[in-house]
Amino acid sequence: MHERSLVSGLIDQVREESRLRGLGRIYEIELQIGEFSGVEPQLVQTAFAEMAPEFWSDPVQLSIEIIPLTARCQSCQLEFHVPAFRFHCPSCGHGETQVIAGEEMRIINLQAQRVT
Amino acid sequence: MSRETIPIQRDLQSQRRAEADAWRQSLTARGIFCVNLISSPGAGKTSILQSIARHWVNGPRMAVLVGDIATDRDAQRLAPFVPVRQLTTGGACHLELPLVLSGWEQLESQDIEFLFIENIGNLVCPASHDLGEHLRVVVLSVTEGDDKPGKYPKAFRTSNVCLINKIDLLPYVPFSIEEVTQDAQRIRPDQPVISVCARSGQGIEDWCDYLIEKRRQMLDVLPQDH
Repeated sequence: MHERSLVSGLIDQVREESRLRGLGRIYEIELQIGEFSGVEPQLVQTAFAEMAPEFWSDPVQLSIEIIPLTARCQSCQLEFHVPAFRFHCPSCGHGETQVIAGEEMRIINLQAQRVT
Repeated sequence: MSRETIPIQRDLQSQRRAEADAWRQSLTARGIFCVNLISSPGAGKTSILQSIARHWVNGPRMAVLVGDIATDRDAQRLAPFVPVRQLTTGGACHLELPLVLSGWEQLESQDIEFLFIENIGNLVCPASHDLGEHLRVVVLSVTEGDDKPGKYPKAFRTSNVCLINKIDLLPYVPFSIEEVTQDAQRIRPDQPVISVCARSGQGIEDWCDYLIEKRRQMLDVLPQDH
């Protein structure tokens, strides 16, 4: 359960971006969270709902897009969705596979009012 | 003033990742090999560290940063053997780099070859936090059951090696080393599985040799001064 520290970092970064870009009201934060990032989107939402009002008086919506866990086979180069955390290549059976997506936690867009 | 979409593309983990990489590099430059031990509570992390310390009484030199939610019991257990600092999180279920670095400040003057970080007993959250280690070890004791790798995939995927502890209890519990190895290697095919009994010292010599070899590999890739 480290979603609160993640959300605290998220709020800090949104406020910093907002300052740097001269943004006014923030309507929505669009976030991508990888399936294998180790955070639970529902808990992120709960923590955000609790913590956001300390920083913004108007409601801010948090949209979370889940990025599927995807790996690339080091042998045949196939890119595949990793089912049930079984990382072997489903095509050639090779064991060495590299995760290429699904571990991210990234702010993609802000929906906001531009003041300056 | 209207509502606009402002593209950001900001990675929430990049700063922490950069900090962990920087610390790892500074340890590497000093020849210090850092090992992060993760497991559920009671798997035997502290006992394993005591066992290593006993085996290495004449070197290599080691120090320990030990994390717990409360008490300094683990630090007290290790203090007779090695330089140790207790890290107390006050409730947090995993260690994060700033706390580790604050503990390291008090050990930094030690002339050591190995730094062990004993994480909070938890197979979930510690898996998501890079502490600047060179080697992550997931410890699993035989009383926990051989079905754990599949249930905690991130802990096993992000660990370089799986250490099975309490193998003296194998005759009394339904635990198969073969099954656990297969399960772990479905998640991380190159993951070595090493068995020990920290209390009796069985397997500890091989485990220590493995760590020494890993440190040697780290030193091999260091740029040579002359």
